[in-house]
Formats: sequence, C-alpha cells, structure tokens
Amino acid sequence: MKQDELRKVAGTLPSMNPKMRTEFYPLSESIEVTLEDHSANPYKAMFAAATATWGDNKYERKWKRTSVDGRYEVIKAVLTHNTLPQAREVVNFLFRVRGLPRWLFDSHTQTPFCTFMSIGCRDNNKLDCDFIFDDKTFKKEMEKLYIGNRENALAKCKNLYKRVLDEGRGSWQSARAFLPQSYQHSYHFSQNLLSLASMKFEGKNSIEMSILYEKVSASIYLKFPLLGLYLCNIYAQKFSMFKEWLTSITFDGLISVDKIFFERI
Amino acid sequence: MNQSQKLFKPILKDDNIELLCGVFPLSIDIDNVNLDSETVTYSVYSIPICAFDQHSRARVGVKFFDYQVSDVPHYIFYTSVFRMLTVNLNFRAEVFHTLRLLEIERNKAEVKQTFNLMSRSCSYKVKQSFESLKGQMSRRLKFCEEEFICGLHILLREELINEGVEEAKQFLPSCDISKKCEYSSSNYLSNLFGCLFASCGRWPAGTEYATFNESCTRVEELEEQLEIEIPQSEYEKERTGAEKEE
Repeated sequence: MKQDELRKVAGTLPSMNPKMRTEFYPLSESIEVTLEDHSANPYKAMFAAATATWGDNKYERKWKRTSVDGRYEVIKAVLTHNTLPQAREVVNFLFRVRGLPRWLFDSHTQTPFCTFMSIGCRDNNKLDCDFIFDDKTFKKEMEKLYIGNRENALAKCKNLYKRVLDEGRGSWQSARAFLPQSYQHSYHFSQNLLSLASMKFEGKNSIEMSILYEKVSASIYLKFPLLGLYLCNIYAQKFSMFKEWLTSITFDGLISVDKIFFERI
Repeated sequence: MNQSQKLFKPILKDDNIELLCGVFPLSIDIDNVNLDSETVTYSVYSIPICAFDQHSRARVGVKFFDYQVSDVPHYIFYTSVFRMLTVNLNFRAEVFHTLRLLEIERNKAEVKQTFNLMSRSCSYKVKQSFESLKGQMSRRLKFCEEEFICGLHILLREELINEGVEEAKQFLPSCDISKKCEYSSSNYLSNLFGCLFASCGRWPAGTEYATFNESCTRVEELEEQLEIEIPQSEYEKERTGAEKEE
C-alpha cells in the first residue's frame, strides 16, 4: 500500500514508535548541516543577473557567447561586491540541519528571506530525542551524569513525557508539554546567497548562530568551494582578505570542482 | 458559565510553581486598531512557549515583538494533561518534583532556554494587517489546530469584534467556506504521512484513519474555558436538528 510505504520512509507508521533513550550532546559537536539542493549552476545564475542590465534590442543570451575567463571576471565582480546585490540574490540553497536545540531553531526562524520546514513535535514521537546543551552548560551537565546523578532534571522531564503517552494515552502533542527547549530539533531551510552573506552574528544567541553558519558555509564549500570560501571569510570578518585573494587569482587557480560549472553551457 | 460552575479548578500550586489549564489563563489586549492602514496591534498573555513558536511562524504582513518567557515557574498544560494532573496524584507529585529540580537548574544556567519546558508561560505582542490576519484565521480557527492556537484566534476574533472591528466578523475557518473537513480527508497530505487526529465533526470526515482517535481540539472545552459560544456549522445544525426530531 502506497500510504504505508510513505509512512515507513517518513517514520510515521504507528508501529514505528521509537524506544526511549536520552543522550546529551554539546552544541558545537552535534550540529550537522548538509546541502540538499541548490541552483543548478550558481555561477551562471550570478552571471545572468549581473549582466542583465546591459544589451541591445535583441537582448541575446550572454553566457554562451562569453569565454570562460570572461564569465569568471563577472563572478569576481559579483563576489567582491562590485555589482548590484541582486546578482547574489538569485542563487538559492536548500539545507538539512540536525543537532540543534529547539530554542536555537526558533531563533533561526526569525531570519528574513529564509523558508523553514521542520520536524514537528506534535507529529512525531520524541521518546528518543537527544538533549543539546550550549558548550558551557554541557560540561556542567556531564559532570553530574558521570557521577550517576539520577536526579537529572531533564531526564526526568523525558520520563514525564513518556508517562503522558503511556498512562494518559495522550498524543505526542500533549506530551510535548514536558519537552525542554533543549531537545534536538531537525529541519530543512532555504536561503539565498545574498541573505547568507548578510548574516550578522550579534546579540542574543550570536555564538550559537555563528557555529551553525560555519557549518552552512562548510556544506557549500564541498560543492562550490569558491562560494564556501566567500561566505566563511565574511563570517570570519575577513572579507577584505578574500577580495584581495580573489582579485589576484586567475581562472586556472580555481579548484576543479568550481571550474566545471564555469565551463558548462 | 461562571468560574464556580466549571468542571474543575484550572490551577494547581506548590510554592511558586503554578500549573494552569488550557486556555483558561489566556488573555489578549487589543492595543491599537488603525482602520486607515488596516492593521491591529495586540498583546498575548499566559500562553505556553510551544504556542508562541507556532504562532510566530507567520511571516507575511505580521511582526512579533516583546517576547518574554515567564521568570516564575508558571506552566500551561493542554487540558488533557491537566486532567491527568488532577486525577493522578502520583503523576502530579512527580511533575512538581521534576519542576522544582528543573527550576534549580534553570536558575543556575546561563542559557535559560535549555531548561524552559515548551509549556512554560510566555507573553508577546503582534502587529498585523487585517489581510494577513484573515488568512491566518482561516487556518487557525479550525479545530484540527492545537487548543492554544485555536483558542487564541477565537479569543482574538471576539476581542476585535468587541472593539468594533467589522472585518473580524468575516474571519472564519476555511472549512466553513469550503463546507468540508479539510484535515481529515482521504487525499490530504497529513493523511498520507499519518493523519494524527480524528475529524472534529464540524463537517463530514473523508477518512476514518487517525493515529489518535480524537479531535485535536475539543470545542466544548474551548467554549467553557474562554466563555465564548462558538457558532455551529450548517452541517452540525442539520445533524443536531435531525437528532432532536428522532
């Protein structure tokens, strides 16, 4: 039955209830980001947008008629911020994230120009969910766990969650009343390159958000090294160094993974 | 229905820890209505964090601000959980014990969110255009939404009508317009992945399948707790009339 096949993949078959287990992780070690999808050729998209303001009445397609070196020069201008910013807005990425505490996800959703779809705590049984601490709290919590302190407040919350499911015959929705905001929350989000490059890590949760975006830029680096470098230098506040580097480097100096995209028609 | 006639006391206390029931404590202040720009600013008080998380996912034509999590350990539980707390004394004792331990940890913590339960009380303000609110109401007034979200929108609609906002009378659950159950239907994605709750019965259900064999939100509980009479759908009126004739 098709429905049951899909439910099996999604993990929503009632018979697939997870077993209760509770593990604790520090945030910096638990965050996992994978690049799930992206604009087919981000360099072509940036090129088309950056050169869109020029042309005659025919308005011919320019990518095909431009040499690889010429394409690269345009992208250099885009990534050194010498074009209109919209050239970076046309590049989209879709990421999968796991290993964040729920409270950080809630903070992340306030980022403008992003789309979020997350695993529901009313749609899923959280008996097996991990708890994620900020790194400082993690040390304190682990000290307690190592000495076998059964009074661990968060582990007891999980027990209450289980009791609502078992004794109250309640739904996962009802039981989530006993989930702390440190429970592990997974999601997908999409964000464009301009928005990614405009992230500011200031104020509340700035440290945790910067850890997350380090992983985001690393996931982009694996597929598009030049774009990954661009972002991680911005996040490290070393954009002027990146500009200097990019200005000096020729097309031949690029990593071959990037070159392929420049050479595609 | 006055407070003394209600089924049970909607609050349990132990020292400074308070456990509250459903939308009993929920309140909304209409801070400002601007008919020229067709926007409303309202404040929401005594609602659990999980409801804020869900409400604040609205993006178009709406701004959320002044979000504050209660400094004191006040928790707001779904009615079903609160009922469990009132009848199961052993469970209640374990809850109070756990919440005491949790509060000790929370007071010591730098990142307080780590120890905030999803049921901890919070408050916030919202500035929203009528158009945005209309779309939101069409989804959130449906009883397949959780009781806090559904209750919040029923109360907000009522408060707006009391403030003389005529547009609020047009705020209806979209199932009242389509005249069918939009949640419990055989071709609905939620059903495909595992329809969680049974239909609320406002309109005929399209499927019998549900992981939890009850409606997500119970109309009678919202009516009792908010002291607002929720008008029946045409289908419900017909059904009630037929039952009376029998």
